[in-house]
Amino acid sequence: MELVFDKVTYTYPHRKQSAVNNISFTCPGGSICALIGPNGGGKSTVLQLACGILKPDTGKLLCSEKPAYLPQQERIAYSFSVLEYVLFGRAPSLKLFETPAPSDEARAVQCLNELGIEHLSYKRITELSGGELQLVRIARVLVQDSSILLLDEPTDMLDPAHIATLITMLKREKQQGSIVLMATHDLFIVQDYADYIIGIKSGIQFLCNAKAQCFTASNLEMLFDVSMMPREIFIPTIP
Amino acid sequence: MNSTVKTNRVKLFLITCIAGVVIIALTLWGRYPKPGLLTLNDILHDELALRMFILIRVPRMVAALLLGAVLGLSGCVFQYVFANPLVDSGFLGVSQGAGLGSIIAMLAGFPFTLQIGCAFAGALLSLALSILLAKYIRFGGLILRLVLAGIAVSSVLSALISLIKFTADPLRQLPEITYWLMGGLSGVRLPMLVLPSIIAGISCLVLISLRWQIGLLALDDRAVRSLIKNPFVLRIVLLAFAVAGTAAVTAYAGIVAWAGLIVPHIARIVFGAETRSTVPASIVLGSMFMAVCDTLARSLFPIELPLGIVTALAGAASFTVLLVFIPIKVERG
Repeated sequence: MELVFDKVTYTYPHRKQSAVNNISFTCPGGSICALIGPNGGGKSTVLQLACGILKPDTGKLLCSEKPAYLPQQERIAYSFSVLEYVLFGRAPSLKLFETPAPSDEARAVQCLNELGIEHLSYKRITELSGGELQLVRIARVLVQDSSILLLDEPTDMLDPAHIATLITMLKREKQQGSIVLMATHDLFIVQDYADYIIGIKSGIQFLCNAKAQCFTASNLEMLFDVSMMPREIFIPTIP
Repeated sequence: MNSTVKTNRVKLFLITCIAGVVIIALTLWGRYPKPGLLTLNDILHDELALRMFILIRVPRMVAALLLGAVLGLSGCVFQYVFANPLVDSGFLGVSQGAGLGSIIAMLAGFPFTLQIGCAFAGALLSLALSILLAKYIRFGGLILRLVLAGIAVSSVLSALISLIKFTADPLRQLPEITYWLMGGLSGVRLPMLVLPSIIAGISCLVLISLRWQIGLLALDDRAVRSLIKNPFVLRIVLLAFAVAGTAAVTAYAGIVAWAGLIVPHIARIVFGAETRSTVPASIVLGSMFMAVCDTLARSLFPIELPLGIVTALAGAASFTVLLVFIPIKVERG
């Protein structure tokens, strides 16, 4: 199980500047990799390249399995039920004319249960709060049963209790040998749970190493262009 | 199977049963021998009534059901494929393309089979033009680019139809084109329905088989692309079958507006957004909507109203009622 970026460069159509430039890193199986950097730095582009939504202009990308991807934001046109919305995550394992079987529905309910939101199954997605919708979207990623999870700001809009549930789930995925590559601005999650850090700024890779080597105030200051200071904050307890 | 799907199946079965009864009643309804329902006595003892029932009303009802089913279904497919509840098969110039093809065939004096072929060619050509143009538009995502291309192509085709009307013989050709463009089923006979029924049947079968995937395409484009290998090809296949069905019915019925827009909305209100239910429901509700509109068109006044006028009035009225009285959340974020 591996996700490898080898000197990957990508430029969006009709743009002059590359969104990501010569990026190289490896995410080994059974690891949580954090993609950090300022807004507009290229984190989401890296995830979309890893997912196969975008094709690299140059360089090589090796992904041992079809990943499950959580986009940063999603436009919702129709108010599907939560269960149906999560079931769409089963699409990669279904054939062209196939509709989800009861076993697919059971797996979707199980994923909702793991995130503590089974009670929302028959609600309409347009009736959910921002945090609830985020959890439902994460359930749609989980239901794909992929060993490579690409998460774009997964903690966005989640309260501390739901962040704790999410991190517990991510730790379990890691223990099972999966790769979690997530773009995030929650530095406490990076500090406590990431194994590897990839720092990107203006499409250029600044950091790439095991957390112990590169998660320092000076590196973060260089990456975010702001002075950093360590201080104690309240964070949810993860079992 | 989840409870929403089960409940929706029961609802769909009940609505189909009600539709069956309504359709039988509407076929018997008319202005001969007197305004009202045709009785068994009339059919058994009045030979003219019997012939009218078998040769005119039944084919016409079949034509209306087929027309409504196809327009409702293709409207539903268009609304999900474009993730936009305000589009129908008139979108991307498909109806106008089919209309232009049919008009050219009519004026050239082609037989009806060839007229269907021309309608199909016109519809496919307009779809291809819209997709091609969307590829070169340097603004927005795929959906927005298709919307913009569709507006441009529809406008060009409407202008071409106007140009044909402008140059047509005002005594012979112009009234024929004008009346045909308003839509209507008065000239329909059973043999005319064979080929459209086959095309529409195949189109409906394929689209029903892909009903779950149709809903999937309405998700955010990045999510769709992460879930299925080639969503562009799937979109084109779905649109091609929807267009084929639309072209086949447009060839005999003319341009009938609003059904494709309003029917999927009603289906979503009754069944929810899940396409496993909404797609078949659009077929049943579309058939019923068209059967009611055509019965009104032929029996409301001593002279027949063009069907397109009745569907536009009924559709616009239903649309206004939906927007004013029923709170539908269609967008978030």
